[in-house]
Amino acid sequence: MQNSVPEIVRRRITVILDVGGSGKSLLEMLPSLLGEKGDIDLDTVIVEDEAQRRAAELPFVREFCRLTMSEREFGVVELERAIALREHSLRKALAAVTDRPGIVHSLRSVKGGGNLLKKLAAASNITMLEPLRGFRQGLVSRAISTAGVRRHIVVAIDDWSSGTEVLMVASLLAKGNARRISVLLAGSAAATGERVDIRKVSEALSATPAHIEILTELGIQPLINATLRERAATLVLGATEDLLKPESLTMLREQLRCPICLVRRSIGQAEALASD
Amino acid sequence: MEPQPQKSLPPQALYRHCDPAQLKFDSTENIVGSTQAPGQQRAVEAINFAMEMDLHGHNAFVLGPAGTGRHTFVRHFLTERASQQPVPSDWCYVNNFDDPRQPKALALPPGAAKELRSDVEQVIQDAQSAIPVAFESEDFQTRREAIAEEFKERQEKAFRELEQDANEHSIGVVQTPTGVAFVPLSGDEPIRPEDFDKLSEKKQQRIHDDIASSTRKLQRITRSMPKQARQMRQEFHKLERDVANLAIAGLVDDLVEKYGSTPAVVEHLRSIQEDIVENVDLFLQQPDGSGAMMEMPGSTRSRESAAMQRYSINVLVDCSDCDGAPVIFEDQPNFAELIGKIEHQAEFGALVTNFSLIRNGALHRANGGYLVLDAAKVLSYPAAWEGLKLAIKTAEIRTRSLGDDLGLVSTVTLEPEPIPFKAKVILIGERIYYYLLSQLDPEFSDLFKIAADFEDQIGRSDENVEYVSGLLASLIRKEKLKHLSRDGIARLMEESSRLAGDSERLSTDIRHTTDLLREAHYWAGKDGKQLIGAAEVQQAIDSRIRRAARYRDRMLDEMLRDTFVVETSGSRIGQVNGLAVMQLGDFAFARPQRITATVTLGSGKLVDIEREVELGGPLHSKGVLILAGYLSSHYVTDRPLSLSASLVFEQSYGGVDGDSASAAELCVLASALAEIPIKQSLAVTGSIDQHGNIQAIGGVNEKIEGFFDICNKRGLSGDQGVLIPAANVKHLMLKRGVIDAVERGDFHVYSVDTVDRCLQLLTGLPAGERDEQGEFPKGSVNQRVRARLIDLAAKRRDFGSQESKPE
Repeated sequence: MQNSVPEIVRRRITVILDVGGSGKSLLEMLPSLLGEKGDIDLDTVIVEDEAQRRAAELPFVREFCRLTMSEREFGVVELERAIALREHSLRKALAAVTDRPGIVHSLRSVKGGGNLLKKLAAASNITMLEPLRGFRQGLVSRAISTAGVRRHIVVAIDDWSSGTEVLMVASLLAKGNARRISVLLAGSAAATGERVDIRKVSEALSATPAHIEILTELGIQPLINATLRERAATLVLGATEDLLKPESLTMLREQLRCPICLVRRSIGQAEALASD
Repeated sequence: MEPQPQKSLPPQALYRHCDPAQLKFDSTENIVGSTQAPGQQRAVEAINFAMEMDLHGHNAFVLGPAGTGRHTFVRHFLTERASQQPVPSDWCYVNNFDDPRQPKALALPPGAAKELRSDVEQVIQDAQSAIPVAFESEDFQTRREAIAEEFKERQEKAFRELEQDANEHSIGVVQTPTGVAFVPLSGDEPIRPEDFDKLSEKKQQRIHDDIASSTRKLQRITRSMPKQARQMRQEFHKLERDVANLAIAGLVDDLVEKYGSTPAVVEHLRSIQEDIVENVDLFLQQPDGSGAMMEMPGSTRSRESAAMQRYSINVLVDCSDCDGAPVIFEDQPNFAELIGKIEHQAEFGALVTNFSLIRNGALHRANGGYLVLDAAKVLSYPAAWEGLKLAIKTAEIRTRSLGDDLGLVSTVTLEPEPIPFKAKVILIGERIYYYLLSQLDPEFSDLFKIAADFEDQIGRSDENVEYVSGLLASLIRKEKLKHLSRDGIARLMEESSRLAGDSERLSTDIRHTTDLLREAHYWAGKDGKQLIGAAEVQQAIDSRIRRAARYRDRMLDEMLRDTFVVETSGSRIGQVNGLAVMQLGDFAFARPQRITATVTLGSGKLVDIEREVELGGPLHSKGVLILAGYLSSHYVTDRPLSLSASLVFEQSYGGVDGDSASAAELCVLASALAEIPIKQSLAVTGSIDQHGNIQAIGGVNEKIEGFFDICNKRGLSGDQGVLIPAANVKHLMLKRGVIDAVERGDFHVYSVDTVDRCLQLLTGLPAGERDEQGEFPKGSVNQRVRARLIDLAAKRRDFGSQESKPE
């Protein structure tokens, strides 16, 4: 089996970024997904959290800087400036990544929460989510060197109808980059039996070493826990109905520390979900 | 009164033949070769003594003229001696991990240095595989991640508690673009500004206090993070060290066991092990290909080669192929070639160096053996002599760059650990260097206590002839030349005597003799001869003379054309033929020199024109001054010497030195005083003392031949000849042409021992001896000289009394 993007006439990839993140890890993954041919709509969205703006409107609220660990002014002006800077730097970075014919690319800032995430993810073949650089993640990650830590992709499959596409995307991301892939089987994928699944996984991942684990508990939280336990560098999973719920997407974004890659089986499914 | 005829020297007195029949061999084919230096027992004993004296400063200076076989003898002597002595240690420089500017020197058993280098290279190669494997192992990754996870958990717990604590006071944590902020909550959402304004002042104040409290707690947590991060890094480092040590220890342990008998090597191997553990990054490929390089210069090199260089062994001296102690002849003894050097290489425009760029010098190579140097060369190279002395004096070799020593190069350099130096140093040079060094360098006598003085002449005994023949036989075999026949050897011995300027001695200038031999080989080959005979030797001699004699022949031409005036017939008052030797390169010849004198009334002053114009050397002036003493004491002891005489070397345009013309000068002065003509068919050489005795001079053969040549060119008259000191007769080794002429009676060589005999020969009149009354016989040369001097004294007296009369 060749490691190539499924033959879809026109694919849509949505990259959802956080105002406070760097987006570096997502941008590094993009070239693998964009490939060298094919028509792609790349939609990059900076999601501005409503709570952020409200905090900026409070005159006495001060920002505790992640970098210098010092306090400083935080108002609407500072927030707007930060968003503008983010857009500017992202535009430059994306220009380099999308420099080939066939890619239509847009960049925008949008205010919103879980519903917005659902809408964006439902309209895309692949949705890449940047984890929120929240309170804990922001400060903790700064103190820990990642040098020498292997790159580990975790793939979660709970439905074989999208499973093959998920594995192929994971395989593309792993190319020359990851040391190992862990496949978490849950739901119907786990229920169809280990025997068949392992064969499918092996075929899909070709030479990349894989570790397969069957999740006995179902639901989004067990998946998050398993991903954290595996210390994933990237999580790739199928965009099931359960996952495309606003609260699920918010949980993934808030609790995981690694980029998340949602792979949707077909555009038809996406349109149906988007109309919910 | 006619003087008694004086006999000239017989032909056999003019040349001492070497009778081939007396030689004990037919040709050099029958002679066992020899590399011994004949007649040099004194020097040989001195060298032997110096080499056997195992004390500081007993180094040898082999002095003597060039070409006497000093180098050959010393080489042979030392090679033979060294082969019986133990092979010295190998030496190498290794990195000093504590201070890379001071590389360490390691001594190893002979041949072990290269092996150690190879072994260490193998260990590093193995480590380059073993360490990455260890670091990529699941165990290592798991342990490393566990450490990170523990730290993360600790931190997250603190933040979680802080967040919960804030939430309990209705304070939420909101992510901002570059950090976080504490905001008051209304339900789960941050409070709206207008709602906050509606709160009572007390509530607002409480919220401010709660935010301030949360901020302080956050600050406490964040302040503790660097310390915790440091602890985590220390744990990472310890883990890396443990893993690296485990990977490398086994490899090093094998070498430690192998080199256990050399503690310094074991210590260095352990240093390597520790350093690898400390700098394990050198063996790991960073995921992004980056990573800080070590302090070793060479950042352009790959990680593998940087590691290989850092731990490499710089083998300075390798004695694996030695059969005994080393004997090093350094032909280019400049500072670097002697002491060694520290090379630099350009890195991004800067010059950098390290221990692997230390290069050995002759001192290193000769350590434990013998170092032979040419004194003139050592002295001519800047700082080489000082460097050599320092090494001998301190018994250490301190390798450094001359540029650094002189402060010419401003860049980082090294101070390698000195290497103990114990070797015999043998300087070879002309005598002048030995005497100058003895006189001018106070340290010289302490460092070179033994002088081995090579003779430049040896007695022409049968034994020495045999020795020299042995030397020639060795050379012939070595250079695959044609062998010398019996008469060829004899002719070479005669030429050797001629070179020595003494019929009773042989020259030790082996180089000259061997050059002749090579040329004779050429002529023999050209003539299709199997052996080199006397004819070929003679042809080689004649060819050499012809090649070198352009200037002599040109002067001879000019004499024949009367450009240079030299009279070889007739008589003249106040003019005599002297003889001056000229040395041009290896070729010496004599030029007949007209010496004239004039005499007038004066106060006893002899004017030496050569001295007045500063063309006369001190020895020549001394000779002239002796004349005045002789004139006073011999002729007019009862009167003041009342003359003014001037002496001049006519048509001499260069410097004149030596006193060999003083006899001629006295004769010409006597001729001028007595107004007696001197035969121009004769030439005179010899120096005189104040009593009128003729003393030996140098270059007698060349002088006779010089006058003979001009006479011969003009046609020998039968009355031409040269007067030489009787003491020089033993030095005569004249060329065939002169001997033939003497045999025919066409030319004469007279030996004279007093001035009177010279005067008698030159004037044809008796010189005259004082009778009982102290008077010279009337008509004799001396009587006429005395009469003239008395006359001049009387005139001077009269002249003086007239001047002193009052007007």
